[in-house]
Amino acid sequence: MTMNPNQKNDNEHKENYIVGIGASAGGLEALQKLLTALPSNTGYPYIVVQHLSPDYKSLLGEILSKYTDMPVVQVEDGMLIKPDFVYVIQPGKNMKISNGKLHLSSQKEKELNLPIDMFFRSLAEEAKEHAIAIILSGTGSDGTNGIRSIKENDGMIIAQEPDSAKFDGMPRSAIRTGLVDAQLTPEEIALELQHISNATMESGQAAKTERQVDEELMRRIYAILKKISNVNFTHYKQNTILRRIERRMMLTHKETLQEYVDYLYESSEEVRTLSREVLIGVTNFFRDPEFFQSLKDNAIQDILLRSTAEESIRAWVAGCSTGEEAYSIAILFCEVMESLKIKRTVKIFATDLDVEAVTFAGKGTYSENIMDSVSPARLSHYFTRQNNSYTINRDIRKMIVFSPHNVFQDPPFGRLDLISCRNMLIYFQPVLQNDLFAIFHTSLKDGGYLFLGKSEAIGVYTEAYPVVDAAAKLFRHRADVKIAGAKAIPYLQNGLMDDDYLDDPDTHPNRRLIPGEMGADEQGAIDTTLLERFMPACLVVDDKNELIHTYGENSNYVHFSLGKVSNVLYDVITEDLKIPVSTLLKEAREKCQMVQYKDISFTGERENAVINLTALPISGRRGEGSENYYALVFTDTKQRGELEDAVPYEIDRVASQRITDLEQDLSDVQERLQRSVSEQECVNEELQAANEELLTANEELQSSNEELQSVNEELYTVNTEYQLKLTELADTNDDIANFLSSTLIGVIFVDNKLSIRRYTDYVASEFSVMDHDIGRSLKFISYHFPTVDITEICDNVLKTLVPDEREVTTRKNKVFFMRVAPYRTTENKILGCVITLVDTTTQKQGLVKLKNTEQRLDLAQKASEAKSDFLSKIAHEIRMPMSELTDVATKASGQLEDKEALGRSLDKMTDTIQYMNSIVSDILEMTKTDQFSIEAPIEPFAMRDLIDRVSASMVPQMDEAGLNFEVTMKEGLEDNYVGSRTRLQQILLNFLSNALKYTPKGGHVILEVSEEAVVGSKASISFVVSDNGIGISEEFIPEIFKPFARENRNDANESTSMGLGLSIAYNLVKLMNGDIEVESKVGQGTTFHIHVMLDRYIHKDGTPAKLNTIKDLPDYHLTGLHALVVDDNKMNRKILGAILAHEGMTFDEAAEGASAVQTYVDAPDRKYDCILMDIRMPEVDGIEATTEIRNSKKPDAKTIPIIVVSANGFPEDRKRAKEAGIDSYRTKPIDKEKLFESIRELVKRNGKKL
Amino acid sequence: MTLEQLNDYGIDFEKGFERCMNDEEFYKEYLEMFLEDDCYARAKDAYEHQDYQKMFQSLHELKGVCSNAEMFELYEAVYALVELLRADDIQTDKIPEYFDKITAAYNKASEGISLIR
Repeated sequence: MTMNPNQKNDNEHKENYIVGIGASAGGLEALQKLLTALPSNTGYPYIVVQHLSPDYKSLLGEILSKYTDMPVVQVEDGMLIKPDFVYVIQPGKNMKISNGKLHLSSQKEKELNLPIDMFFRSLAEEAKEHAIAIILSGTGSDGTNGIRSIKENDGMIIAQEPDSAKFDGMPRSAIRTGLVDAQLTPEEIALELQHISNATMESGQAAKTERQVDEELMRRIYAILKKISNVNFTHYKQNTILRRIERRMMLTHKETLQEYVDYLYESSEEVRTLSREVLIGVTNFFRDPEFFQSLKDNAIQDILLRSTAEESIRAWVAGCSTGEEAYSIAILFCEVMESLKIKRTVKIFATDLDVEAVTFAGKGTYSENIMDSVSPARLSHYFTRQNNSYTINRDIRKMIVFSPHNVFQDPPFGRLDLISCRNMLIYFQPVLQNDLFAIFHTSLKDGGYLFLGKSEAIGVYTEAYPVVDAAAKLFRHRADVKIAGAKAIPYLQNGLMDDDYLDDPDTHPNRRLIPGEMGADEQGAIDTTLLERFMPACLVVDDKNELIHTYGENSNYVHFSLGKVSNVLYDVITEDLKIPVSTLLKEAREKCQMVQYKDISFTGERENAVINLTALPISGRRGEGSENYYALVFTDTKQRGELEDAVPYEIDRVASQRITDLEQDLSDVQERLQRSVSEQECVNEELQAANEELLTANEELQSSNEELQSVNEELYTVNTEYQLKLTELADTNDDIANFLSSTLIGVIFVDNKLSIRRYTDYVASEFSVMDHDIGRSLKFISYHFPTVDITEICDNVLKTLVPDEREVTTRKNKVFFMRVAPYRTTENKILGCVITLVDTTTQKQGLVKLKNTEQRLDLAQKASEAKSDFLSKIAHEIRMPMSELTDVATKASGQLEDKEALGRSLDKMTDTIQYMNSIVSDILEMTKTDQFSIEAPIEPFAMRDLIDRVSASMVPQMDEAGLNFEVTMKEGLEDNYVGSRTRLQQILLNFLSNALKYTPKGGHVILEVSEEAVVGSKASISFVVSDNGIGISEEFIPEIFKPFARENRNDANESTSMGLGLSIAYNLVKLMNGDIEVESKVGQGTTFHIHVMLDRYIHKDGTPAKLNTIKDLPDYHLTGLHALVVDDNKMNRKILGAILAHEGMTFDEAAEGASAVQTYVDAPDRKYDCILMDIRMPEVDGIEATTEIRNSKKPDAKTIPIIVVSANGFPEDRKRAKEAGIDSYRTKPIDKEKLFESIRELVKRNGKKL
Repeated sequence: MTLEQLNDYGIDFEKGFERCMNDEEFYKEYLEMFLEDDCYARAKDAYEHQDYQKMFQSLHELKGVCSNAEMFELYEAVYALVELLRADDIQTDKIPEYFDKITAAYNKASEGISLIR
């Protein structure tokens, strides 16, 4: 216990409290809470020292200013502090306060800086007891050393309640020192500060007054303290205790001492706290260095010089607190032994009342702030540095025995060479001081040294303690001097002495206030006192030979050995008396009565003497008889004379018996001991090894811990930044999510294994995907796109890293634009695919409409052009006969007289007019075909009737032209069909007329009628008109159906044709959704194949099955195309054929792969426009058949469109199909529109005009 | 029975009729062919002989037929077994259960077709 409490403040500003707040980087939250709760008018300056990164500009001031009305200022060097301001340290700086100003210094690089410790130390110096140190959340232990200085100067220390701290390292470290006055949450700290502010303003003076008057209350406090802590503070200095009490009153919010005393009765915890507060001490290594130098030169050197190698040197450091003084003295002993080059065993007993302090001292580890008091040479010689702390070396540590000890209650140490008792006496009133000197008197050897504190004096005992060095408070002991007036300290009479003090009549009346405390009988106390003084020496022992009580002057009979004090009789009784005493007690116990020996001569502790010895059985204190006590009375023969019943003590008889017994016992004990020692040694060795390992591990752990702490601090800062970024990221995520959901774009993110990572809700309409599918493979997710294998596409994209874009259609005919692109990170890593779907159904429909419109526009334009052309040709055609007519008319006008000539002219005019009439008729007919929709009546008709009519019309003309005309109606024709009979008649007449015109006399013209195919109620009818006339040149064939088309050939009969007949017929066939094929060779003749679709006249009631008008048919322009349908299933061939026929196509069938190949190879070249092929067929399947077709020698083998129509789309089939040369792949059920689309595209690709 | 009632026999009349150009005569004629079709009989035979290769071929053919004819119940049953048989490691223990479903759907569809004759 070292401190000087009576220091006064010189400066005005120090009258007010200064609050220092320490926190690490993680303490921002605690600071915010504290400032939020703190009123802005406490009148204190608040100085915040936080661990800040030296690399960044600190925003601490700005942040904190949001939480308090007080101005928050970042400290500049030399800044003067003002009340109700908050000062914040700069990053990378250390800060001190002196004379009301804050001073900054740069932190050392590459060293652990402890700015809080540094500031608190300067704060303690500056503000003394008006310093308030607050330690808030933080890792590490910064501030812990600083608060020692604060405590030493009576300042107040508050630590944040560790459970409320985000990082509890700093608060816990501070609390572990035991120096912290209060543990509070930040909000409670604010309230406490407010309370202190109010209390100091209002009741400061009142408290002082009270202190002077209320001795009564003080006594009660002492009594309470005594009960709880077993320490009697009555004779401690009241000022010191009062200061501590005031501090506690402030913290417990008690305004008067009376209230506080009442509170003490209620709270034993508070009593313990107060007791600890009073006992607590702070000290330093080599405190007052010149004192220690004197100790070394004058005392220690002398002790060592006088010592012998056999004898150990003993010293006692009373009130060692945290051990610095004991270690300092040990170091001095070592230094002197080294300089004298001698080696002695030095034993230093270091004791203190405070158990926690003693425990700390035993560890021998101190923070690096001891550098201030220990020279570098000593540091390196006697300490080991571990991270940021210093540990005393083992050799020094071994010299010292630390133990808790009450100098007034526990037995003192004996035969001491040196007692150091520094800064302890100052706490005691003279009465206690005197007692202490008396104790020291018995403990010190003659010539031993007493070393006191700076402000302590030897008082009245100058004779017993002559001065060695007055300035250094060093005294030498003289054992021969009797100390008068000093109490014999009955240190073994545990408890009695303290009661003795407390039984002081002044304190007595209050004892009843403490229930159960003061039950001792006053008379008994008086008796005891008298007995102790005047009885002959007497020891009371129990059954176990343990001392219970002593009376009288017994110093010649007992001695107390070194080290731990024993109360076993045989440990304390002087050597020569051991045998007689044990024999006597044995005998007395056997006989259960008093036994006396006389004339025992022995060498006592002080002198030789002859005594009588009495062993007297006495019953237990409460008469229960359970414990039998024996009083061992030593009676000096000289004083008391002979005893009547005493037996002479015959040493030989007794001793020989006794010796035999003891020897036997001894040999047993020795044997046991030997075994124990061996075992102990083994255990010891193991323990030592384990200990060394633990030490190494501990060192490593400590360094790891330091590193972790600094990493943790950095992480906290980084964490704060990341939290901000996370918030931004969350906002961005929300934006993206909203964007994706509002734009109606479906997105699926899959990883490299095609497991779904994320998707937008929109996608759920086409994919059966739900939240729990995240993490599942896309392979297990069904979707509405039957024609594509999205997993395969993704695999390809991942392989090639080329995005795949395509149009996909759902079963419900919704069209999507699908894009599968690689998912690239910013590091250009591919982590999967992004599948994007955009609904393009509307656009697609729009496109189709647009295309149709364009086609129509194109057609309209062509029609318009054709009409213009047509008109100009008509004009041209009419102009010739008109001019001829004009010429003839002019000629006729001049032939009025010549009737014959006039008649010829008139005939010619008639011919010309008839010719013109026929032209007009043709034109009218031509025009009519444009109005087919209105005027093409659909009606049932008999085919034979139609043919008969045509034939009847043509036979005379044929006969006239000398042509052989044949009409054949093939088998299979129905009798009746439904269609436009008149148009059919017109068509046939036009073609037959054409044949008539261009077939020379003697030639033949043939009309063949047949039913090509029947699909349901429809039939495809073929009319073949062939002749062996002049034929049409290959170049002109494409022109023949154009109006006014006439091939300019010498062998053609020009005048008879205007070139409209075939054009009209062609238009009519087209109107009926039919088609015309032409085969012709010049000089050999021409064959026209006319195909038309007619409804079959089936029902017997005379109505047709369905009266579809021609207009109802969709227009794919497939009429006339011829297909080969290959499928092993009849039903499939049937439906496929029907679908084709419905579109005007004709087809052949094959029921297996081999026959399909054969049919194709055997057919005329280019007979088939396309082949529809099933895949899975027995024997030769569709793929093999396709390969054979492609490898055949037919001219179109490589190009003929082959379209697969299969029951499924197995990926393996698709792949094989592609490799075999399949052009398109369609699945069943057949989608008519898609099939037609494919046929149309592929046929067109081959150059076929549709 | 009306053609619409075919739906109760696992045949989607609307779709099938549309595929047949809305031609009732043809539609009936086409469906009636199903009663003569031997895919199912072949599949059954293969099933009874545990010739899975043949069964797969026949069922595949049947699958094409009933998909064109829009016999949705039969299609689903056939599809399931075809997929089962396509697997590398055929779970033969499941085949009877699957085939029973096909038989049920086949008989149902056949009944429906007989009723519109």
